[in-house]
Amino acid sequence: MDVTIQSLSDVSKEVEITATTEDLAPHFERAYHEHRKKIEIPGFRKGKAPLDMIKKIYGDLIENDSLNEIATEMYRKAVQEKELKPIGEPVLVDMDYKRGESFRCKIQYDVRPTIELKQYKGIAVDKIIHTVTDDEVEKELVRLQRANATMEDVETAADPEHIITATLQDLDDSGNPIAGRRSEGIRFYLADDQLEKPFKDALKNAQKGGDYTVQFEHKHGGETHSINTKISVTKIQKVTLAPLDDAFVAKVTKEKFTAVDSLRKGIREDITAYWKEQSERHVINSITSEIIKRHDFQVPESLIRTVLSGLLEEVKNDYPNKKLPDNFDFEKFNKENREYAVYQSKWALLREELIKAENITVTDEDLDKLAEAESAKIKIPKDRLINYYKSSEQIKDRLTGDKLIKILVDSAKIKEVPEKA
Amino acid sequence: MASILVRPIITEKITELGDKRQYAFEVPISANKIVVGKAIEKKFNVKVTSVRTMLIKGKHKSQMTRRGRFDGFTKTWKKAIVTLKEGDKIDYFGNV
Repeated sequence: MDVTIQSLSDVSKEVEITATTEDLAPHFERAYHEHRKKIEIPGFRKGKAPLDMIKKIYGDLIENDSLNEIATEMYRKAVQEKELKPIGEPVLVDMDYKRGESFRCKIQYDVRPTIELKQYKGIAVDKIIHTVTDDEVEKELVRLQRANATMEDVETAADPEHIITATLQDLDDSGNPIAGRRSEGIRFYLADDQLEKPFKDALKNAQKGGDYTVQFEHKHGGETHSINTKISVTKIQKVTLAPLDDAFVAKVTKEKFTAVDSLRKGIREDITAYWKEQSERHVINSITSEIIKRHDFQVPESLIRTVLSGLLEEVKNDYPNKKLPDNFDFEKFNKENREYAVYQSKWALLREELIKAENITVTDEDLDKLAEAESAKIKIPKDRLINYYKSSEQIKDRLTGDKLIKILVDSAKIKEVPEKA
Repeated sequence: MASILVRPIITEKITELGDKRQYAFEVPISANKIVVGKAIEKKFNVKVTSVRTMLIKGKHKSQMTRRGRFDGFTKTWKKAIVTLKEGDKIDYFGNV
Protein backbone atom coordinates (compact mmCIF):
# COMPACT_ATOMS: atom_id res chain seq x y z
CA MET A 1 0.00 0.00 0.00
CA ASP A 2 1.43 3.31 -1.08
CA VAL A 3 0.29 6.54 0.58
CA THR A 4 0.98 10.09 -0.57
CA ILE A 5 -0.34 13.21 1.14
CA GLN A 6 -0.97 16.51 -0.56
CA SER A 7 -1.85 19.75 1.18
CA LEU A 8 -4.86 21.52 -0.36
CA SER A 9 -5.07 24.39 2.14
CA ASP A 10 -4.14 25.18 5.74
CA VAL A 11 -6.97 22.99 6.97
CA SER A 12 -7.55 20.53 4.14
CA LYS A 13 -5.40 17.67 2.90
CA GLU A 14 -5.74 14.91 0.35
CA VAL A 15 -4.37 11.43 0.80
CA GLU A 16 -3.85 9.23 -2.26
CA ILE A 17 -3.77 5.52 -1.55
CA THR A 18 -2.55 3.01 -4.12
CA ALA A 19 -2.97 -0.68 -3.37
CA THR A 20 -1.73 -3.70 -5.34
CA THR A 21 -3.81 -6.79 -6.07
CA GLU A 22 -1.91 -8.55 -3.25
CA ASP A 23 -3.01 -5.80 -0.83
CA LEU A 24 -6.60 -6.16 -1.99
CA ALA A 25 -6.78 -9.98 -1.96
CA PRO A 26 -7.54 -10.46 1.76
CA HIS A 27 -10.22 -7.73 1.62
CA PHE A 28 -11.88 -9.34 -1.39
CA GLU A 29 -11.70 -12.81 0.16
CA ARG A 30 -13.51 -11.48 3.19
CA ALA A 31 -16.11 -9.84 0.96
CA TYR A 32 -16.64 -13.06 -0.99
CA HIS A 33 -17.14 -15.06 2.18
CA GLU A 34 -19.62 -12.48 3.43
CA HIS A 35 -21.62 -12.47 0.19
CA ARG A 36 -21.47 -16.25 -0.17
CA LYS A 37 -23.81 -16.63 2.81
CA LYS A 38 -26.53 -14.74 0.95
CA ILE A 39 -26.09 -15.99 -2.61
CA GLU A 40 -28.42 -18.59 -4.10
CA ILE A 41 -27.35 -20.45 -7.24
CA PRO A 42 -29.48 -23.22 -8.80
CA GLY A 43 -28.07 -26.62 -7.86
CA PHE A 44 -26.73 -25.35 -4.52
CA ARG A 45 -28.32 -24.66 -1.19
CA LYS A 46 -28.18 -21.02 -0.09
CA GLY A 47 -24.66 -20.21 1.04
CA LYS A 48 -23.17 -23.44 -0.32
CA ALA A 49 -22.15 -22.35 -3.81
CA PRO A 50 -18.39 -22.73 -4.47
CA LEU A 51 -16.37 -19.53 -4.13
CA ASP A 52 -14.89 -19.94 -7.61
CA MET A 53 -18.36 -19.96 -9.08
CA ILE A 54 -19.38 -16.90 -7.09
CA LYS A 55 -16.24 -15.13 -8.28
CA LYS A 56 -17.05 -16.00 -11.89
CA ILE A 57 -20.67 -14.86 -11.71
CA TYR A 58 -20.64 -12.02 -9.19
CA GLY A 59 -16.91 -11.17 -8.96
CA ASP A 60 -17.17 -7.72 -10.52
CA LEU A 61 -20.16 -6.74 -8.44
CA ILE A 62 -18.76 -7.98 -5.14
CA GLU A 63 -15.34 -6.45 -5.66
CA ASN A 64 -16.74 -3.07 -6.69
CA ASP A 65 -19.19 -3.17 -3.83
CA SER A 66 -16.43 -3.71 -1.28
CA LEU A 67 -14.20 -0.92 -2.61
CA ASN A 68 -15.76 1.77 -0.40
CA GLU A 69 -15.12 -0.33 2.68
CA ILE A 70 -11.59 -1.10 1.52
CA ALA A 71 -10.91 2.61 0.93
CA THR A 72 -12.16 3.39 4.46
CA GLU A 73 -10.05 0.64 5.98
CA MET A 74 -6.94 1.71 4.08
CA TYR A 75 -7.55 5.32 5.07
CA ARG A 76 -7.71 4.29 8.74
CA LYS A 77 -4.48 2.35 8.33
CA ALA A 78 -2.85 5.35 6.65
CA VAL A 79 -4.02 7.61 9.51
CA GLN A 80 -2.31 5.30 12.02
CA GLU A 81 0.85 4.67 10.05
CA LYS A 82 1.44 8.25 8.93
CA GLU A 83 0.17 9.70 12.22
CA LEU A 84 -2.31 11.95 10.45
CA LYS A 85 -4.59 13.99 12.67
CA PRO A 86 -7.85 14.36 10.80
CA ILE A 87 -10.96 16.05 12.18
CA GLY A 88 -14.51 15.60 10.98
CA GLU A 89 -15.68 13.16 8.35
CA PRO A 90 -13.27 12.39 5.49
CA VAL A 91 -14.66 12.52 1.94
CA LEU A 92 -13.85 10.02 -0.78
CA VAL A 93 -13.30 12.16 -3.88
CA ASP A 94 -11.90 9.74 -6.44
CA MET A 95 -11.62 6.00 -6.89
CA ASP A 96 -10.16 3.95 -9.72
CA TYR A 97 -10.12 0.16 -10.00
CA LYS A 98 -10.05 -2.35 -12.84
CA ARG A 99 -10.43 -6.00 -11.91
CA GLY A 100 -7.08 -7.68 -11.51
CA GLU A 101 -5.18 -4.39 -11.53
CA SER A 102 -4.14 -1.98 -8.80
CA PHE A 103 -6.59 0.16 -6.82
CA ARG A 104 -6.24 3.89 -6.33
CA CYS A 105 -8.36 6.26 -4.28
CA LYS A 106 -8.20 9.86 -3.13
CA ILE A 107 -9.64 10.94 0.20
CA GLN A 108 -9.87 14.51 1.41
CA TYR A 109 -9.77 15.21 5.10
CA ASP A 110 -9.60 18.26 7.29
CA VAL A 111 -7.05 19.07 9.94
CA ARG A 112 -7.20 21.42 12.88
CA PRO A 113 -6.05 24.90 11.88
CA THR A 114 -3.02 26.36 13.59
CA ILE A 115 -4.38 29.03 15.89
CA GLU A 116 -2.12 31.68 17.30
CA LEU A 117 -3.91 32.98 20.35
CA LYS A 118 -4.32 36.75 20.55
CA GLN A 119 -5.28 38.71 23.67
CA TYR A 120 -8.42 37.11 25.07
CA LYS A 121 -8.48 38.52 28.56
CA GLY A 122 -9.58 41.96 29.66
CA ILE A 123 -12.14 42.34 26.89
CA ALA A 124 -14.33 45.41 27.34
CA VAL A 125 -18.04 44.65 27.19
CA ASP A 126 -21.25 46.39 28.15
CA LYS A 127 -23.55 44.73 30.64
CA ILE A 128 -27.09 45.83 30.01
CA ILE A 129 -29.01 46.47 33.18
CA HIS A 130 -32.74 46.14 32.98
CA THR A 131 -34.71 47.83 35.73
CA VAL A 132 -37.99 46.07 36.34
CA THR A 133 -40.89 48.53 36.23
CA ASP A 134 -44.20 48.42 38.10
CA ASP A 135 -45.89 48.16 34.72
CA GLU A 136 -44.11 44.86 33.94
CA VAL A 137 -45.19 43.45 37.31
CA GLU A 138 -48.78 44.57 36.77
CA LYS A 139 -48.85 43.04 33.26
CA GLU A 140 -47.75 39.72 34.71
CA LEU A 141 -50.48 39.96 37.33
CA VAL A 142 -53.09 40.63 34.63
CA ARG A 143 -51.76 37.64 32.68
CA LEU A 144 -52.40 35.49 35.76
CA GLN A 145 -55.90 36.98 36.15
CA ARG A 146 -56.67 36.29 32.46
CA ALA A 147 -55.50 32.71 32.77
CA ASN A 148 -58.09 32.26 35.53
CA ALA A 149 -60.83 34.40 34.01
CA THR A 150 -64.50 33.39 33.63
CA MET A 151 -66.42 33.61 30.32
CA GLU A 152 -69.96 34.70 29.60
CA ASP A 153 -71.75 34.62 26.22
CA VAL A 154 -72.86 38.10 25.08
CA GLU A 155 -74.14 39.75 21.90
CA THR A 156 -71.71 42.69 21.58
CA ALA A 157 -67.97 43.13 22.14
CA ALA A 158 -68.33 46.37 24.09
CA ASP A 159 -64.68 46.59 25.25
CA PRO A 160 -61.36 44.77 24.59
CA GLU A 161 -62.00 42.19 27.33
CA HIS A 162 -63.96 39.99 24.89
CA ILE A 163 -63.14 36.85 22.92
CA ILE A 164 -64.66 36.66 19.46
CA THR A 165 -65.05 33.34 17.67
CA ALA A 166 -65.45 33.72 13.93
CA THR A 167 -65.29 32.15 10.47
CA LEU A 168 -62.66 33.67 8.20
CA GLN A 169 -63.06 33.74 4.43
CA ASP A 170 -60.21 35.12 2.31
CA LEU A 171 -61.31 37.43 -0.51
CA ASP A 172 -59.73 38.27 -3.86
CA ASP A 173 -59.10 41.83 -5.10
CA SER A 174 -62.72 42.10 -6.32
CA GLY A 175 -64.04 41.05 -2.93
CA ASN A 176 -65.12 37.57 -4.06
CA PRO A 177 -64.44 34.59 -1.79
CA ILE A 178 -61.43 32.41 -2.69
CA ALA A 179 -62.33 28.71 -2.76
CA GLY A 180 -60.59 26.59 -0.12
CA ARG A 181 -59.45 29.59 1.92
CA ARG A 182 -62.03 29.40 4.69
CA SER A 183 -61.23 28.74 8.35
CA GLU A 184 -63.80 28.13 11.05
CA GLY A 185 -63.64 28.61 14.81
CA ILE A 186 -60.87 31.22 14.82
CA ARG A 187 -60.65 33.03 18.15
CA PHE A 188 -59.63 36.66 18.64
CA TYR A 189 -58.94 38.04 22.10
CA LEU A 190 -59.35 41.77 21.61
CA ALA A 191 -57.12 42.64 24.58
CA ASP A 192 -54.25 40.53 23.25
CA ASP A 193 -51.18 42.70 22.53
CA GLN A 194 -50.20 40.35 19.70
CA LEU A 195 -53.45 40.87 17.78
CA GLU A 196 -52.94 43.06 14.69
CA LYS A 197 -54.48 46.54 15.00
CA PRO A 198 -56.67 46.25 11.85
CA PHE A 199 -58.39 43.21 13.43
CA LYS A 200 -58.88 45.11 16.70
CA ASP A 201 -60.34 48.09 14.83
CA ALA A 202 -62.65 45.97 12.68
CA LEU A 203 -63.98 43.94 15.61
CA LYS A 204 -64.48 46.88 17.98
CA ASN A 205 -68.14 46.78 19.10
CA ALA A 206 -68.68 43.69 16.90
CA GLN A 207 -72.10 42.04 17.02
CA LYS A 208 -72.81 38.32 17.11
CA GLY A 209 -73.82 37.25 13.57
CA GLY A 210 -72.21 40.35 12.04
CA ASP A 211 -69.81 40.36 9.05
CA TYR A 212 -66.67 42.53 9.04
CA THR A 213 -63.94 42.95 6.41
CA VAL A 214 -60.25 43.44 7.15
CA GLN A 215 -57.82 44.59 4.49
CA PHE A 216 -54.18 45.46 5.20
CA GLU A 217 -50.55 44.67 4.42
CA HIS A 218 -49.13 42.23 6.97
CA LYS A 219 -45.35 42.42 7.50
CA HIS A 220 -43.76 39.29 8.90
CA GLY A 221 -40.09 38.27 8.95
CA GLY A 222 -39.11 40.77 6.24
CA GLU A 223 -41.95 39.62 3.97
CA THR A 224 -45.21 41.40 3.24
CA HIS A 225 -48.54 39.62 2.69
CA SER A 226 -51.80 41.19 1.61
CA ILE A 227 -54.64 40.30 3.97
CA ASN A 228 -58.16 40.69 2.66
CA THR A 229 -60.62 38.62 4.65
CA LYS A 230 -64.25 38.56 5.74
CA ILE A 231 -64.86 37.84 9.41
CA SER A 232 -68.25 36.33 10.25
CA VAL A 233 -68.74 36.48 14.02
CA THR A 234 -70.32 33.30 15.41
CA LYS A 235 -69.81 33.80 19.15
CA ILE A 236 -68.79 36.54 21.56
CA GLN A 237 -67.67 35.90 25.13
CA LYS A 238 -67.09 38.51 27.77
CA VAL A 239 -63.92 37.87 29.76
CA THR A 240 -64.26 38.65 33.45
CA LEU A 241 -60.83 38.69 35.03
CA ALA A 242 -60.38 36.82 38.28
CA PRO A 243 -60.47 39.30 41.18
CA LEU A 244 -57.02 40.17 42.42
CA ASP A 245 -57.25 39.37 46.12
CA ASP A 246 -55.40 37.27 48.66
CA ALA A 247 -57.61 34.21 48.06
CA PHE A 248 -56.83 34.33 44.34
CA VAL A 249 -53.09 34.66 45.07
CA ALA A 250 -53.14 31.69 47.42
CA LYS A 251 -55.01 29.58 44.81
CA VAL A 252 -52.84 30.31 41.77
CA THR A 253 -49.54 30.04 43.66
CA LYS A 254 -50.62 26.91 45.54
CA GLU A 255 -50.09 28.74 48.87
CA LYS A 256 -46.56 29.84 47.92
CA PHE A 257 -47.81 33.39 48.38
CA THR A 258 -50.82 34.37 50.43
CA ALA A 259 -51.08 38.12 49.82
CA VAL A 260 -51.17 40.25 46.68
CA ASP A 261 -48.19 42.35 47.77
CA SER A 262 -46.03 39.32 48.45
CA LEU A 263 -46.94 37.94 44.98
CA ARG A 264 -46.00 41.30 43.46
CA LYS A 265 -42.64 41.07 45.23
CA GLY A 266 -42.19 37.48 44.03
CA ILE A 267 -43.01 38.41 40.43
CA ARG A 268 -40.58 41.30 40.60
CA GLU A 269 -37.84 38.95 41.85
CA ASP A 270 -38.58 36.44 39.06
CA ILE A 271 -38.47 39.10 36.35
CA THR A 272 -35.27 40.54 37.86
CA ALA A 273 -33.67 37.07 37.86
CA TYR A 274 -34.75 36.55 34.24
CA TRP A 275 -33.19 39.82 33.09
CA LYS A 276 -30.06 39.15 35.15
CA GLU A 277 -29.61 35.85 33.33
CA GLN A 278 -30.27 37.52 29.97
CA SER A 279 -27.75 40.21 30.77
CA GLU A 280 -25.09 37.65 31.82
CA ARG A 281 -25.72 35.66 28.65
CA HIS A 282 -25.31 38.86 26.64
CA VAL A 283 -21.96 39.51 28.35
CA ILE A 284 -20.76 35.97 27.53
CA ASN A 285 -21.93 36.29 23.92
CA SER A 286 -20.20 39.66 23.57
CA ILE A 287 -16.94 38.24 24.94
CA THR A 288 -17.00 35.16 22.69
CA SER A 289 -17.92 37.27 19.65
CA GLU A 290 -15.01 39.61 20.34
CA ILE A 291 -12.58 36.70 20.77
CA ILE A 292 -13.77 35.18 17.49
CA LYS A 293 -13.36 38.57 15.79
CA ARG A 294 -9.78 38.83 17.03
CA HIS A 295 -8.82 35.42 15.60
CA ASP A 296 -8.80 35.09 11.86
CA PHE A 297 -8.31 31.52 10.69
CA GLN A 298 -9.76 29.15 8.15
CA VAL A 299 -12.48 26.85 9.44
CA PRO A 300 -12.48 23.24 8.20
CA GLU A 301 -15.50 22.54 5.99
CA SER A 302 -16.15 19.23 7.75
CA LEU A 303 -16.76 21.07 11.03
CA ILE A 304 -19.18 23.45 9.34
CA ARG A 305 -20.98 20.47 7.80
CA THR A 306 -21.24 18.83 11.23
CA VAL A 307 -22.83 21.96 12.75
CA LEU A 308 -25.22 22.29 9.80
CA SER A 309 -26.33 18.67 10.05
CA GLY A 310 -26.92 19.17 13.79
CA LEU A 311 -29.13 22.17 12.96
CA LEU A 312 -30.97 20.13 10.36
CA GLU A 313 -31.72 17.45 12.95
CA GLU A 314 -33.28 20.14 15.15
CA VAL A 315 -35.41 21.34 12.22
CA LYS A 316 -36.49 17.73 11.54
CA ASN A 317 -37.87 17.50 15.07
CA ASP A 318 -40.38 20.23 14.21
CA TYR A 319 -41.94 18.15 11.42
CA PRO A 320 -44.40 15.26 11.83
CA ASN A 321 -42.62 11.91 12.17
CA LYS A 322 -39.34 13.85 12.16
CA LYS A 323 -39.39 13.74 8.37
CA LEU A 324 -38.54 16.75 6.22
CA PRO A 325 -41.01 17.59 3.42
CA ASP A 326 -40.08 16.36 -0.06
CA ASN A 327 -39.62 19.90 -1.34
CA PHE A 328 -37.30 20.94 1.53
CA ASP A 329 -34.62 23.21 0.07
CA PHE A 330 -31.34 21.93 1.57
CA GLU A 331 -29.26 24.35 -0.43
CA LYS A 332 -31.21 27.34 0.89
CA PHE A 333 -31.07 25.96 4.43
CA ASN A 334 -27.28 25.52 4.29
CA LYS A 335 -26.84 28.98 2.76
CA GLU A 336 -28.99 30.69 5.38
CA ASN A 337 -27.32 28.95 8.31
CA ARG A 338 -23.75 28.89 7.09
CA GLU A 339 -22.74 32.09 8.88
CA TYR A 340 -23.98 30.71 12.18
CA ALA A 341 -22.29 27.36 11.54
CA VAL A 342 -18.96 29.09 10.82
CA TYR A 343 -19.35 31.09 14.04
CA GLN A 344 -20.07 27.96 16.09
CA SER A 345 -17.20 26.01 14.48
CA LYS A 346 -14.77 28.86 15.11
CA TRP A 347 -15.78 29.08 18.75
CA ALA A 348 -15.48 25.30 19.18
CA LEU A 349 -11.88 25.41 17.90
CA LEU A 350 -10.98 28.52 19.88
CA ARG A 351 -12.58 27.13 23.02
CA GLU A 352 -10.34 24.06 22.87
CA GLU A 353 -7.25 26.21 22.33
CA LEU A 354 -8.18 28.47 25.25
CA ILE A 355 -8.82 25.50 27.55
CA LYS A 356 -5.38 24.19 26.61
CA ALA A 357 -3.76 27.60 27.11
CA GLU A 358 -5.38 28.03 30.52
CA ASN A 359 -4.56 24.43 31.43
CA ILE A 360 -8.13 23.86 32.59
CA THR A 361 -8.88 20.39 33.90
CA VAL A 362 -11.79 18.84 35.77
CA THR A 363 -10.92 17.80 39.30
CA ASP A 364 -12.70 15.32 41.55
CA GLU A 365 -13.69 18.32 43.64
CA ASP A 366 -15.50 19.85 40.65
CA LEU A 367 -17.42 16.64 40.03
CA ASP A 368 -18.22 16.39 43.73
CA LYS A 369 -19.60 19.93 43.81
CA LEU A 370 -21.73 19.36 40.72
CA ALA A 371 -23.03 16.04 42.05
CA GLU A 372 -24.00 17.65 45.32
CA ALA A 373 -25.94 20.42 43.60
CA GLU A 374 -27.65 18.08 41.10
CA SER A 375 -28.37 15.39 43.68
CA ALA A 376 -30.56 17.80 45.63
CA LYS A 377 -32.41 18.83 42.46
CA ILE A 378 -33.03 15.46 40.79
CA LYS A 379 -33.09 13.33 43.94
CA ILE A 380 -30.50 10.75 42.84
CA PRO A 381 -27.83 9.67 45.35
CA LYS A 382 -24.68 11.72 45.06
CA ASP A 383 -22.36 8.69 44.76
CA ARG A 384 -24.25 7.37 41.76
CA LEU A 385 -24.06 10.75 40.09
CA ILE A 386 -20.31 11.03 40.69
CA ASN A 387 -19.73 7.62 39.11
CA TYR A 388 -21.75 8.70 36.09
CA TYR A 389 -19.96 12.06 35.83
CA LYS A 390 -16.56 10.39 35.99
CA SER A 391 -17.40 8.31 32.94
CA SER A 392 -19.16 11.08 31.01
CA GLU A 393 -16.96 13.07 28.64
CA GLN A 394 -19.91 15.38 27.99
CA ILE A 395 -20.10 16.43 31.64
CA LYS A 396 -16.34 16.98 31.82
CA ASP A 397 -16.52 19.05 28.64
CA ARG A 398 -19.35 21.13 30.10
CA LEU A 399 -17.40 21.74 33.29
CA THR A 400 -14.19 22.78 31.50
CA GLY A 401 -16.29 25.05 29.28
CA ASP A 402 -17.92 26.63 32.34
CA LYS A 403 -14.53 27.18 33.94
CA LEU A 404 -13.22 28.85 30.81
CA ILE A 405 -16.24 31.16 30.61
CA LYS A 406 -15.72 32.12 34.26
CA ILE A 407 -12.08 33.00 33.58
CA LEU A 408 -13.06 35.09 30.56
CA VAL A 409 -15.89 36.89 32.37
CA ASP A 410 -13.80 37.52 35.52
CA SER A 411 -11.02 39.06 33.47
CA ALA A 412 -13.33 41.15 31.25
CA LYS A 413 -13.77 44.89 31.75
CA ILE A 414 -17.51 45.02 32.24
CA LYS A 415 -19.33 48.33 32.09
CA GLU A 416 -22.87 48.38 33.33
CA VAL A 417 -25.20 50.35 31.07
CA PRO A 418 -28.91 50.88 31.53
CA GLU A 419 -31.13 49.29 28.91
CA LYS A 420 -32.39 51.67 26.26
CA ALA A 421 -36.12 52.14 26.34
CA MET B 1 -16.30 -34.50 -30.63
CA ALA B 2 -17.19 -31.25 -28.86
CA SER B 3 -20.92 -31.96 -29.15
CA ILE B 4 -20.46 -35.02 -26.95
CA LEU B 5 -20.34 -32.78 -23.88
CA VAL B 6 -23.61 -30.85 -23.70
CA ARG B 7 -22.95 -29.03 -20.39
CA PRO B 8 -21.12 -29.61 -17.14
CA ILE B 9 -23.44 -30.34 -14.24
CA ILE B 10 -22.58 -28.03 -11.41
CA THR B 11 -24.54 -28.71 -8.27
CA GLU B 12 -23.64 -28.92 -4.62
CA LYS B 13 -23.66 -32.72 -4.69
CA ILE B 14 -21.52 -32.98 -7.82
CA THR B 15 -19.10 -30.30 -6.57
CA GLU B 16 -18.47 -32.43 -3.51
CA LEU B 17 -17.53 -35.33 -5.80
CA GLY B 18 -14.71 -33.13 -7.05
CA ASP B 19 -12.74 -34.20 -3.97
CA LYS B 20 -12.79 -37.72 -5.43
CA ARG B 21 -11.79 -36.36 -8.86
CA GLN B 22 -15.29 -37.06 -10.17
CA TYR B 23 -17.10 -34.67 -12.50
CA ALA B 24 -20.51 -34.85 -14.16
CA PHE B 25 -21.68 -33.84 -17.62
CA GLU B 26 -24.84 -34.03 -19.62
CA VAL B 27 -24.15 -36.05 -22.75
CA PRO B 28 -26.31 -37.10 -25.74
CA ILE B 29 -28.37 -40.24 -25.12
CA SER B 30 -26.56 -41.89 -28.01
CA ALA B 31 -23.10 -41.29 -26.52
CA ASN B 32 -21.33 -44.29 -24.93
CA LYS B 33 -18.76 -44.38 -22.14
CA ILE B 34 -15.84 -44.66 -24.54
CA VAL B 35 -16.65 -41.55 -26.55
CA VAL B 36 -17.46 -39.59 -23.40
CA GLY B 37 -14.10 -40.55 -21.87
CA LYS B 38 -12.25 -39.58 -25.02
CA ALA B 39 -14.12 -36.27 -25.29
CA ILE B 40 -13.22 -35.36 -21.71
CA GLU B 41 -9.57 -36.29 -22.20
CA LYS B 42 -9.34 -34.17 -25.32
CA LYS B 43 -11.22 -31.12 -24.02
CA PHE B 44 -9.63 -30.85 -20.60
CA ASN B 45 -6.29 -32.55 -21.31
CA VAL B 46 -6.72 -35.09 -18.49
CA LYS B 47 -6.67 -38.89 -18.15
CA VAL B 48 -10.06 -40.53 -17.49
CA THR B 49 -9.95 -43.76 -15.44
CA SER B 50 -13.68 -44.55 -15.42
CA VAL B 51 -16.96 -43.33 -16.84
CA ARG B 52 -20.38 -44.13 -15.39
CA THR B 53 -23.42 -43.16 -17.39
CA MET B 54 -27.07 -43.11 -16.44
CA LEU B 55 -30.34 -42.18 -18.08
CA ILE B 56 -32.36 -39.59 -16.21
CA LYS B 57 -35.96 -40.26 -17.12
CA GLY B 58 -38.13 -37.28 -18.02
CA LYS B 59 -40.61 -36.28 -15.35
CA HIS B 60 -44.34 -36.00 -15.79
CA LYS B 61 -45.44 -32.39 -15.72
CA SER B 62 -48.92 -30.93 -15.86
CA GLN B 63 -50.12 -27.37 -16.01
CA MET B 64 -53.56 -25.90 -15.48
CA THR B 65 -54.38 -23.03 -17.81
CA ARG B 66 -57.54 -21.23 -18.92
CA ARG B 67 -57.65 -23.52 -21.91
CA GLY B 68 -57.63 -26.60 -19.70
CA ARG B 69 -55.05 -29.02 -18.39
CA PHE B 70 -51.84 -29.64 -20.30
CA ASP B 71 -49.88 -32.80 -19.66
CA GLY B 72 -46.42 -33.71 -20.80
CA PHE B 73 -42.97 -34.95 -19.92
CA THR B 74 -39.62 -33.26 -19.55
CA LYS B 75 -36.96 -34.74 -21.80
CA THR B 76 -35.01 -37.84 -20.86
CA TRP B 77 -31.30 -37.18 -20.80
CA LYS B 78 -28.04 -38.90 -20.09
CA LYS B 79 -25.67 -38.04 -17.27
CA ALA B 80 -22.05 -39.14 -17.30
CA ILE B 81 -19.85 -39.14 -14.20
CA VAL B 82 -16.18 -39.38 -15.03
CA THR B 83 -13.37 -40.21 -12.63
CA LEU B 84 -9.96 -38.78 -13.43
CA LYS B 85 -6.50 -40.14 -12.82
CA GLU B 86 -4.94 -39.03 -9.54
CA GLY B 87 -3.42 -35.59 -9.85
CA ASP B 88 -5.76 -34.49 -12.69
CA LYS B 89 -8.60 -32.08 -12.23
CA ILE B 90 -11.09 -30.04 -14.24
CA ASP B 91 -11.31 -26.36 -13.49
CA TYR B 92 -14.55 -24.89 -14.80
CA PHE B 93 -13.66 -21.45 -13.48
CA GLY B 94 -10.12 -21.41 -14.80
CA ASN B 95 -10.38 -17.90 -16.13
CA VAL B 96 -11.35 -16.33 -12.80
